[in-house]
Amino acid sequence: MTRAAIVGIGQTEFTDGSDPRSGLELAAEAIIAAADDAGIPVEDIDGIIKYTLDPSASLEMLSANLGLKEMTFFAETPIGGGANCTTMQIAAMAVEAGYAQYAVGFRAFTSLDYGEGLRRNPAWLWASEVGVKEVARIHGFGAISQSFALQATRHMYEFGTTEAQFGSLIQSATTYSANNPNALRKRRVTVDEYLDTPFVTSPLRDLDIFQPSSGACAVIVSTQERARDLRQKPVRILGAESGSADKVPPYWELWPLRRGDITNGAPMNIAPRLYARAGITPADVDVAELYDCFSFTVMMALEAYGFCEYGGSGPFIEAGNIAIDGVIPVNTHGGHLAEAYIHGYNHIVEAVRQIRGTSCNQVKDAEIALVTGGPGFASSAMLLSKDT
Amino acid sequence: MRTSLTPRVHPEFEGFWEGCRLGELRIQQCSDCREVRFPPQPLCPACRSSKRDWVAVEGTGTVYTYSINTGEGAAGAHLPGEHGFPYAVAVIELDSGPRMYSDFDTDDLQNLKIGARVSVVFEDIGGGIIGPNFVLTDPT
Repeated sequence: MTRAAIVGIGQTEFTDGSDPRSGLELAAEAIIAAADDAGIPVEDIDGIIKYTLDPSASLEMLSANLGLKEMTFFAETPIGGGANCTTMQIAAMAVEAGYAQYAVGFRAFTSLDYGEGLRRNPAWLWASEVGVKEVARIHGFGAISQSFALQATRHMYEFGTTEAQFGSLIQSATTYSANNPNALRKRRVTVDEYLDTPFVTSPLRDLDIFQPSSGACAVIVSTQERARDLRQKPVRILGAESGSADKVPPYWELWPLRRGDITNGAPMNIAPRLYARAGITPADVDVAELYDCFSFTVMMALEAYGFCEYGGSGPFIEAGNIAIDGVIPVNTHGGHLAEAYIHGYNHIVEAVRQIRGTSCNQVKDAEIALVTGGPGFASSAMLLSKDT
Repeated sequence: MRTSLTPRVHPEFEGFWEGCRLGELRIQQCSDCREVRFPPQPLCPACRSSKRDWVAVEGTGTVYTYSINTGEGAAGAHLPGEHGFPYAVAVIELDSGPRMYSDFDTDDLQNLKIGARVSVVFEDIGGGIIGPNFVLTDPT
């Protein structure tokens, strides 16, 4: 277990991309809101952890605009939305080791991301330079949805997962989001309505794909001891882990070409370490905010993090187990599919609300929450709990 | 083949495209431990040797998985080429082990199944470049 705690959360309004403000302004608003939430002056923030591919704001731009004093710790995470909990792992290590008192992690997402973010990824640069992308492009492969669709088709073949089971997942996400004032997709979609929509890239439909969004979230981490003197009830970081998968090609357009099973990946390696570090089992988890750039990644997480057997996520979802009164309520904010796509950071913010008892879809007596990152080449996950 | 995009022939891929031109499916092979890999990269992940060459492999395999692109939704990122929608992108598992992409036109979709047998064909991509694709060999 770590001795670190989340002491403040902040976010902007989420929009469909119509927010005219720059990524820097969105990031700053979320960070200021997180400091206010914690009850600390903004200038007490002395550590920043950002995604390398977040083009919204640099360390020096944030420092200048927020009027920060000396920064004593700064770091960046690779990968993308897979590393949402890696930022929290780094923040926890930084405050425990005394390199920072208040470390903030954030993600500001704007339309700039789709072009500029990729240029910050050396794997993308390599793939473009040597012509790796061409071996996919000449076959009409050009969207990341296809990468997960190919894995999902194989999952259906191996385990008998059905379209209606994907629909159950969408019905669940939109049942939650219908009750969430921040959500972009506020209307509940039934399984039948889902099945009436066309495929985009089979087996994925439009409803299986994240909501294109603008917005930002920020999360401030400090030590458990310091947390107890602040405004909010501390949310303890029981454990945060990162990990890569075995034998995964180095670029997302190539992931489905890896040898062996392609129906899961890095989360299978991370889960046992995470539970061991936190000293708990999947049965102890009360609520799970599972990264859902595509519906299928929720299925991967349910299986990897031990809520159902390997391959069994479809029937598990269909039986109502991820609803608010189910075995493990999942994505109580609506997730990327129905709230907004802030690259895994809105999942962290929602998990903190669940532990504080302030979610719009509050799970009764929630004491332990799981947050996961996107399952690509590498991923991350985190367990949060009430102060103990 | 789906796009009119002309592949850049980078030295790392030269043997691959040259093989296609000669009607041969070539995979990168480690000159030391003989492990084959696709796509090509500088080092062998099995023995870390940077000595590498090309080996011709049998152009036969099976469909491992596929996805059909319909042109619905956020299709801007999809690349239908001159044949339009719907089309399928498939992962082919070669009998020699490595996996590669292929695509299938609208007419083939009814017979496209996981486990279906395929064999390689070489098609003109444009710009003087020939590329590999796979066709169903037992569409029953």
